[in-house]
Amino acid sequence: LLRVPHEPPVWSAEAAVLAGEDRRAVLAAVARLTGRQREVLVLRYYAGLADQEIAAALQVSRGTVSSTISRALGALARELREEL
Amino acid sequence: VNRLEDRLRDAFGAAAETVRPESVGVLREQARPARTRRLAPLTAAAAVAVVIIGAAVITPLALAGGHSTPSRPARPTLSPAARASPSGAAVTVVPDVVDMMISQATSLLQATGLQVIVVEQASSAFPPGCVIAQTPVAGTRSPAGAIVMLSVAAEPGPSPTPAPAGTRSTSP
Repeated sequence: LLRVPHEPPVWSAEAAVLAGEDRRAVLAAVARLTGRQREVLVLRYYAGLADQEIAAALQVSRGTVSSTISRALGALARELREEL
Repeated sequence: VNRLEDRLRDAFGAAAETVRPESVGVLREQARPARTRRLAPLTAAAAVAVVIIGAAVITPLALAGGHSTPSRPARPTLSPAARASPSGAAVTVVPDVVDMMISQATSLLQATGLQVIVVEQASSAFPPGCVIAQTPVAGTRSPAGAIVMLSVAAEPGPSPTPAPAGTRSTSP
């Protein structure tokens, strides 16, 4: 099972700062999404819910959940690219 | 996209570790049996408005054990009741909690048999802790144990600086 670590294996002050910056950038970008997009991302990537569970929680269809997620990810990718 | 997803998990997870004492106080007050233990609210690192969660429902690995989170951000899971349990479940009508303070809203919703997820949003128009919006809206018929997501006002000012990002992920 290959898993590429997304953090440097060795802790260093520099790496820590970089990781912190990235998180801040990501959270700031998330904050600029629409409320619904934010909700969906939080439920998926923080709470770890499946599409179906998110659909039940928000009372929307599964299709809506997946399209909202992909649109949110798209918007996020654009935002973050702009910042780099 | 995979990379982006990882970054999101990482950011949310890191934010979850930043505990805002006053919010936690609110949540602790209503502490319940282990099954509905709460997560501390996520507080985003940035001074920008943010996404955040403080969840009633989520039975969490997160802050449960304190320091038990190794490399991976905590992945709370819903309690069984919250998982899709379609048929035969009791139905409740979602109460209106907009404009309430979060502690009151949470108790009311829980008393109604619903579970709560809180997403904080920086706002200068509402007092901190005030519920700005709810999903689903009041009057909706939901199965018992369903989740109600609340948007709650947080201070608009710069949030407290989180612990330096590296501190948590130091050597295993």
